[in-house]
This record gives sequence, structure tokens and C-alpha cells, in this order.
Amino acid sequence: MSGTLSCHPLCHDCDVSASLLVLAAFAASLVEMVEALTIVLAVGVTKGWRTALLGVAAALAALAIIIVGFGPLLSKLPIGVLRLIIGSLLLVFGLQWLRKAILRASGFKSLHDEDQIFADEVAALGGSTPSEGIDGQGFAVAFKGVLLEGLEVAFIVVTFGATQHRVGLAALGALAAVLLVVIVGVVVHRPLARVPENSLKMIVGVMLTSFGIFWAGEGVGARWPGSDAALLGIIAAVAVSTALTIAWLRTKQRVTA
Amino acid sequence: MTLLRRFLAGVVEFVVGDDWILAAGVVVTLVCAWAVGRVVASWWVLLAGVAVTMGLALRRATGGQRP
Repeated sequence: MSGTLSCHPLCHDCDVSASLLVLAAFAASLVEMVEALTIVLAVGVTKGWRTALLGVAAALAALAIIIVGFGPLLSKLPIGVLRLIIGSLLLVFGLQWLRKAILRASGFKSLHDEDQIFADEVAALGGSTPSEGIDGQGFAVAFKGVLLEGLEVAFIVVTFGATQHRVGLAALGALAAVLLVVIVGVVVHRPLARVPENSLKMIVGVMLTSFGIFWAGEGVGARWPGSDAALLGIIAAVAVSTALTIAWLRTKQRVTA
Repeated sequence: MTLLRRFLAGVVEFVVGDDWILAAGVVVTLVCAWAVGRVVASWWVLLAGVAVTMGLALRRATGGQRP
């Protein structure tokens, strides 16, 4: 596959990859933003909303600098190097997401409980009454929470976008998820415990792993049978093997229980 | 220097994550795919390498029970 395509250098099938790009960015952002919202709500309730929102604003500014700074930088790398670096990183991240999702789905790891995390955060912050001024500890917790949860999203947006020359499209998917979480968070004003976080994490894990296998493979000189169509085959193979692994682990879990 | 070291440690932690086996497995898989690719088609090495890597990581996480 050449790197001189008019659409983008890594994939011929623009519509499919564009849809997958938006879906991956949306799902990843949704999961991470739900976690960030839980932390922000805990800070807002215990230390005041001014502190919480200032921490969020500072973290969003830091994330914007990372996206604006690294996006164009990645686009300037030679295509072979870009494929290898981004493919490898996506593969590592994808496998991490997938591992956690498989362990949760098969019962080896407890499912994410946002209500419990919210209660833990409130307890850790001392459960004091909100103050009028800015609370340093609350600011740091909100800043760190949003920055760390957002960093993976920023990475996915920048790398997916840069490799397909569509940072805007990836950012759009992420922004849609952020807006959705913020709106729902403002309306319900409590942790979003009903989001199917593990399923979303699994979808993102399958997509990141598949794109990672495909791009990193091209980066080390592998030629895929069927060229770009192989990506769909890889996604199917990763999804099916994930489902089979979960079923197998559930059986093992039942036998040992 | 301490700041740089902390930053680098943070980057490594961010990339490697909870289980170093995954990062190490990806590196080994890519090196094998590159080496095999110099002789024959190597796309299958990537799929096999990822499967083995995930299997080892899950085996470790589940306390030795084979996934």
C-alpha cells in the first residue's frame, strides 16, 4: 500500500475508516469522560463547584495544548515511521483496554462502579462542606482526574486523526461524547453508573488492537492479504477471539467457584 | 533532572500500563514479524503474536488458569 493516496495515507476505504475513527474516538471519550465526571462531581460536592470547574478548565487547557502541539508534529513524520510508532502504541493501549474488559466480563475483575468510586472520592476529600474560595486539594484532584482520563482520549484523537489526516473528524467524535457526558451530568447531577462502560471499553479495545495490528504490521513491512480489506478481517478475528476467550474464562470461573 | 526522570517514568507508566507483558509482547511480536518478513509473508506472525501475548497476560491475571 502506498503512502500517496489523496484520501489518507494508511487506508483506501475512506468511509469505513472514517466511521470507525469517529466511533472509536466517541466510545473512548465516553468511557473516560464518565470516569472524569465522577471525580469532578465528588470535588464539586465536597470542595465547591468553583474549585471543581477551575480544575476542569486547567486540565482541558493542558489537553488542548497536547493535541494542538503533537497533532501536526506526528503528521510530519515519514509514513513508515508513523505507521510503526502509532501502530505499536495503539496495539499496546488496545490490548490493555481489551485485557481489562475481558477480565471484567468474565468475572475475574469487578465491574466499574461509579457510585462506589464517587463515595470513595468524597471520603478521600474529607467530606467537608463546600467553601467559597478555591481549595488547593480539590483543584488538584479535579485537574489530575480530568487530565489523566483525558490523556488517553487525546492520544487516540491525535494518533487516529494524524494517521488518517483527519484530526478534526476524530476530535468531533470525542467532542460529541464529552458534550453528551457533560449534559447528562448536569441534568442528573450524580455519577453516571448506568453507562455500559465495559461494553464500550471492549469495543474500543477491539478497534485499537485491530488498527494497531494492521498499522504496526505495515510499519515492519508486512503485506496484508487483500490489502486494506484485511482490516475488517482483523477486526472480526479480534472480536470473535475476545468473545471466545470470555466464554472460556467464564467456564473456568464457574469450575473453580 | 528529577523532573525529567519523573516525566520519563510517567511516560513509561502511561505506555506500559498495568501489565508489562503486553508491552513486551508487542515488541517481541513486531521484531519477529520484521525478521520473518525478510524471508516469507509475515502478517500471520502479528496475529499469532498478539494472541499469545494476550493469552500470557490473561493467564497471569487469572492466577495461572489457562484462558
